[in-house]
Amino acid sequence: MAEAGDRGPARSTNRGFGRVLVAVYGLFALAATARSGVQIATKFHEAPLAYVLSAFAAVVYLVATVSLARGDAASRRVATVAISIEMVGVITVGAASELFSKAFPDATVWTGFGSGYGFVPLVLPFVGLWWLRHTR
Amino acid sequence: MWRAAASGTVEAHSARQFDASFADHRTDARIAVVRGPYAIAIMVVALVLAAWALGLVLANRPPGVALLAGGAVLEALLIGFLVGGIVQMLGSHREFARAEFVLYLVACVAIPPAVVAWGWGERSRAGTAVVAVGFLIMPVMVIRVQQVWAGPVG
Repeated sequence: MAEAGDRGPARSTNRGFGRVLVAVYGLFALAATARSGVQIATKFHEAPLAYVLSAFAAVVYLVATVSLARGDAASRRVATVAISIEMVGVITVGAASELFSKAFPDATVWTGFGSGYGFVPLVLPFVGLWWLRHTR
Repeated sequence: MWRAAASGTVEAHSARQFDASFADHRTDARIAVVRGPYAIAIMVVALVLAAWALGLVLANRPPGVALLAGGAVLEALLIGFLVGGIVQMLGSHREFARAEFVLYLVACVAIPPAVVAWGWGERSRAGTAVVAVGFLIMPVMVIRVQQVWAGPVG
């Protein structure tokens, strides 16, 4: 969106397309937090690894959402780290859940590269890092 | 048909069990918030609002009062979904992930105001796009509610 860049010299991560990106990250933060909360509270013993990973994903999404929404220089660094971890996480967990499906009796946000969420979790970190570069 | 088969004691017993579960489903059908026309209405309204919002994005318009009013209609429907869903849950004896079910219903009510507030903060078409995303996600949320309702574990 062209108007995002015309808003001033400080190209914040939370304006223009970034506004939409933060909203999508926020939805995933909510989804992962709620999912891991229910899983850990009601049936932690069934699949501890999957549920710990769900909680980890929730924290990563929360940090990414807040840091992208704040958009200052320090938040930008935090967002870069969080979204990089997110990228490694979705690829690693996605591959592991395909190769060692027995270790993942229940799904996380990142299982099957986020197939339960329309593969948005796989695309999101690439878009996030692109946006951070684009607004630098 | 089942009542006709329920002449012997064994059949009568199984028929009673069947009647119990059938009555449960009948109650579901009578209230019919989670899976009935009400849920379909929510999804249709959300999709129409999303299409409208996307049209405004293409027209390069910031989020306006009319779109806000549309969002309020959707929100009212979703509050009804939350209340009706919990009533329906309390009237059902089936086993399903009840905590998850309620959480999804609460999320359905919480998401539109949060997304609209965030989108409202930017007076450009990006703000309208945020609102469109919020509307677009609602049919998915309703379907997730229905999946949790249908399955033993979501």
